[in-house]
Amino acid sequence: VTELTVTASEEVGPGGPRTVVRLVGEADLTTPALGDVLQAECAKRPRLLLVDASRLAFIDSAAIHEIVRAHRTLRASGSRLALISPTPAVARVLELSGLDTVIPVHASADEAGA
Amino acid sequence: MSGPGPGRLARVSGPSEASSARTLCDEAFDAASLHSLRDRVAACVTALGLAEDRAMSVILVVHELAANAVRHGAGSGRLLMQATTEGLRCQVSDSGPASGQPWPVRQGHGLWIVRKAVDTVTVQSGPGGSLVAVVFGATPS
Repeated sequence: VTELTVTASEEVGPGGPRTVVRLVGEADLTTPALGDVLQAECAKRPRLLLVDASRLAFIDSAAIHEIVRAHRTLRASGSRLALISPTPAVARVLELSGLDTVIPVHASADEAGA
Repeated sequence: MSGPGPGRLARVSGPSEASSARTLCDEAFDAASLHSLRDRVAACVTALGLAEDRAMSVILVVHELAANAVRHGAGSGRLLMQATTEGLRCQVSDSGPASGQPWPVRQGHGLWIVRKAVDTVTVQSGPGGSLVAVVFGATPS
């Protein structure tokens, strides 16, 4: 069974408050927690939502779809979503899917939160 | 014109025709085993000595095909991976959805990724099920 732990926390970065959603494990069509948490956090209208993928070992098109959905929701209300430090495996999927041309990818939360 | 038949699909040898094919993996899967299927594919491509990017492409493509069978097809299926003279051939088959309608094998983000990552895609889909075969050629892309 694919296991994914999704946690959301509110932080204060150099540029102001931000929400960080940390993904640990693997994200695919059988891990609905990703979409559930992203939608719940988007509803709180954060200024900046960071998806920390530094401990995400795999992501599939279904999980990518959830991130794109959150990105569109936030953009419509003037907020931003960015991905933080994806692992090489996840970076490869982002490249194949073209997501890296749609959503900003940063090396660290502070770099994205400026 | 002696084309491959309906659908303008590229013709790829089936298992019975590819006499030089060496089976690397022959495994059934369902929603609960997609994770272990990825591990199995990773072990195969590591054994083949594929570069990391190439290996990840194979793992992702096989996963997306299996995920389609889980989500839109029978809910379970079978993966056959073979080393052939054309390259690495991965075939995912399922017995079709309970509704009897063929699953929308040509739609979705996942299939778009598949087409971008592989050299050849062959799709056979009907009420009796679906069979998708992809080939990763010898030249990395």
